Amino acid sequence: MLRKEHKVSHISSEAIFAIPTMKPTKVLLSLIFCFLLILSDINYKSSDIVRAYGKDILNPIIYIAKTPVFIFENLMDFFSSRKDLQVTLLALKEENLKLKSINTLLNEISYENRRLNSLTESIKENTNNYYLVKKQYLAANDLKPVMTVNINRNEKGYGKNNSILSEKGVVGRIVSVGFYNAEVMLIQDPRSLIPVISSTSRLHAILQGSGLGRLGNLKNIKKSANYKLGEELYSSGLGGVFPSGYPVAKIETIEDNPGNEFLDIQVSFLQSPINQDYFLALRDPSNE
Amino acid sequence: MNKSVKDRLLIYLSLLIALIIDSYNFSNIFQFIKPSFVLLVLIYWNMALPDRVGITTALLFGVLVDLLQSSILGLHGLLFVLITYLCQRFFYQFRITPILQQSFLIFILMILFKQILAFDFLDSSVNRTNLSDGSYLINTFYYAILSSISWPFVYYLCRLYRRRWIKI
Repeated sequence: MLRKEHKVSHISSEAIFAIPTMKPTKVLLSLIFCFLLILSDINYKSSDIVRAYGKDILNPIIYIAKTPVFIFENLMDFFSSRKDLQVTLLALKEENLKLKSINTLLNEISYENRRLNSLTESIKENTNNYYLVKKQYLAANDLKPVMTVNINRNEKGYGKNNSILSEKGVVGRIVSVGFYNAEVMLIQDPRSLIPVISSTSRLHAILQGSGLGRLGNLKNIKKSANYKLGEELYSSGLGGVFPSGYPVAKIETIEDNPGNEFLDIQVSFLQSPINQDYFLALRDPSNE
Repeated sequence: MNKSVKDRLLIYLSLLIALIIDSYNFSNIFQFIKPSFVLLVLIYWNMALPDRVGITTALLFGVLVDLLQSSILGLHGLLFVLITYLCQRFFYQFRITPILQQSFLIFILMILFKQILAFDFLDSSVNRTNLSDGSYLINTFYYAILSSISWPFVYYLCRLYRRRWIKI
């Protein structure tokens, strides 16, 4: 048969059926290599050291992905007329006034709260204790949510276990640090455990996440515990990782199942990093 | 430049573009159901040019996706290698099936892929080995649907790219 008359393909002279399949030994070796990587990560958290540096390498890719949106937004800004901007300004002024009035109300509530719980400590905090971080990427697996934030390595007190906060409360903590990026384990992560204290009943507990957009649960709560529905939970500061007095979650359901040794308490988290871009990180003086 | 090396570089470039698309961050629920374009493009190359892509490519991009998604290092690598092996093992059958049937196979593959990602490797839950719940199952379904819808686009786009630049 002539080369040109090949039945399989006229584009290639090589028959597609002639291509040998992959060698099973090579596949097996690769699988073993992957298993070793996974096992070392599970048992020794080996990737925590290199992960954020890997993110630094991937930084240009993330920036390229963001470029079209950035250009589009800038073009929109450029073409929006002065009139539009004036209307927006007016609307924002109105919004600002409303927020100010709400804020005054919140101050009143906060004053009462301060007498009841440990918020006093957080109010006393110096604003210099915080630095701003920007969200870079949120992992696509909502069951194991990890957020990557852009960070300035020269910030004083920057390091592992810095708490990440939003205006609504605790968001998570830094688990891996790189040159320009850091990985934040969110409090919604099932691996995350955060000591909390309830606002009115003043009971201590450990809160575990179940994934983004899901209810968390309080661990090992005795049946005699007197938690109330709708009660807010604040970080207690025990363990020394998270600062005390920051809002974390709200109790949604309390169930007393006869077959269970403990109470089944589910809570909703007060903040979600999905539609928020900027966060505050709390400096750790021991890292300075 | 050697033709084979040039082809490989062009394939790597297409996978890199797919990685860039994957690294776009959506500020809503779509972030959790968006298709993995790296995986779709990798499947295409395994089907179209099985002698040009292999385990190394799958492993390399698997680890890159692991870094991007902050998952356990090696998990995506492992899944990418397995999918590459399956695609290469059955590529004779896969490439002659109609595109709709291919989309259906992609749907099944993506459901399995997403479910494996829900395994509780770090033992964070006491009684369960899989963290998947009702909400995650729905997300998995949407993810698989979106992936299978994206497949024809990825397929024809990559074919266009291959015919224009790789010319095999």
